[in-house]
Amino acid sequence: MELLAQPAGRPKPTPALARRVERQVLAPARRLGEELSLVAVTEPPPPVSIMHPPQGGTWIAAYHDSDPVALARGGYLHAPEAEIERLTRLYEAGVDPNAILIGHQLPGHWRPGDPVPPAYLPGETATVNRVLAAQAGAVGVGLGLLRAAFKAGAVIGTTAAAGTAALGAVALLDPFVLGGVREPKTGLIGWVMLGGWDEEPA
Amino acid sequence: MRNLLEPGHEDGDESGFADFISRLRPYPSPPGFQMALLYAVAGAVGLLAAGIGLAILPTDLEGDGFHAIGASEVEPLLEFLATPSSAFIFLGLMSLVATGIVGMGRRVSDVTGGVLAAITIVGVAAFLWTTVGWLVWGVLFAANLLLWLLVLASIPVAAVLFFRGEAAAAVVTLGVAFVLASVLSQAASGPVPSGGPAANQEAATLPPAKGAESPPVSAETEQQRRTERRQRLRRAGLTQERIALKARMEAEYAAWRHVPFVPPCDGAVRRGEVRDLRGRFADMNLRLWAAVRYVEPGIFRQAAADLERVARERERTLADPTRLYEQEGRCPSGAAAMANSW
Repeated sequence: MELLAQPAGRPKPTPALARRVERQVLAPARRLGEELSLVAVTEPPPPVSIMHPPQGGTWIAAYHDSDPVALARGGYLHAPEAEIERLTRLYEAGVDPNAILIGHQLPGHWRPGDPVPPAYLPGETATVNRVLAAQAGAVGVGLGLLRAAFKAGAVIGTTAAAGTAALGAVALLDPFVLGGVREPKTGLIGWVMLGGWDEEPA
Repeated sequence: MRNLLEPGHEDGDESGFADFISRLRPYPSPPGFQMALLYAVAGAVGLLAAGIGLAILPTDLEGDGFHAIGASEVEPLLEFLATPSSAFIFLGLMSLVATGIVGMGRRVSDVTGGVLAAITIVGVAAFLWTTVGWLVWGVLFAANLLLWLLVLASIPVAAVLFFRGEAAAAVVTLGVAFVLASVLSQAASGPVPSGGPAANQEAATLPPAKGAESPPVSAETEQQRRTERRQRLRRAGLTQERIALKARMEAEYAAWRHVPFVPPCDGAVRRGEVRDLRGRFADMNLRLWAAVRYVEPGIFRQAAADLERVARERERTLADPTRLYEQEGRCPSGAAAMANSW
């Protein structure tokens, strides 16, 4: 939770905030067998925070309805289907945070207004790369044999090889979702990690 | 900041969490997925094309009036290459369905990815298989075409020689052309003349049929002319009969290839038997050609009876695949069912 400037060590919520977090998030999740935990207590963050860590890349933390990444992707946040089902079950079980904060990692030095690269599930991309390599190899062998017989087919071979050449290895990035519970008297928000997964930018 | 101000859904209003969940969507399919689908579709289409290509591959070249050389040698190879035609068409259709299902699911796992890759690889292999079949046929066709063109080309060559005053060379060229055309024509129209020395020897050792001897030229009478006319008519009838028997042989041969086998008889034994049957049919066909020439209707009766035995053996095997082995200790065989050695 360094994005939210939380001091090191376990967060210290006020008793009132702890009770609210327990009632609104932790207890309903526990009924589903999920042990969620409070990860930070902060002042309300701005709608969108953009950080550029020294090791490179860009971190964006934003409320779900002002998330620039989701807005750039048509207003939607992409998630694995299993994660969507899990979050839906949490909601149906009564998990009810006051705020949803989404963290995104983007490659390079991203600024508002810059295009947001599309993202995909990393496992699928690797599988498709392997499939394409096998397919292009088979087509290449077939065309090679036909070329040997007919001295033709060079154009198709070039097209087939281009399919895999465009796909390179990329680093995995981590979206995460926090649920925030607000304590009205102090204005502090206790943040609970609701989910997170890997994605692969194009 | 809307969701910080919203009450929870315990108050009856939609919460920020519900709004967030409504904005979640599954990841789009990764880049290259459509390309992988296209490759798989190409593989499925390749399978279908290969199946159709094999189905229309000419395999019955012997005696078609064009293929004077190589037909009997290449026919078994072409038939072997054309065998998986139906399997390719079936696999092609199944592959199209499988690709459609994967495409509609828009998700790719190791299993579905493996299916897409396999479809492409099998499609390419099937396409190459069909190409080999057509190449073999094309080489044979080109070789025969070359021979016929040689005959055709000799006519203008003879004409040129004649106009250059080399009449003798022109006549020789034409003579060679006519001889070659005659040999090619005979070779292309049936197996007897093209059967080589063995066939000619066999035909020579056949006893001449009753009334088939040539009458002396000097004693040609009305009676002899009537006899000759009768012979011609009988030969024409026997030729029709031979064609019908050849069709029965081909149908029987094709049917035997699909007769199931049960242990201890296996695929290798069955293939050997089918090859044997093909050889016996080829010999029978050769004998029928000679029988037409020497007007021997008895040979036709023997052939028809043997074909009937082969068909009965097949039908009995289909009805009970194990009976023959249990009762006679042998695998079902069309060739073994024949009474004549041919």
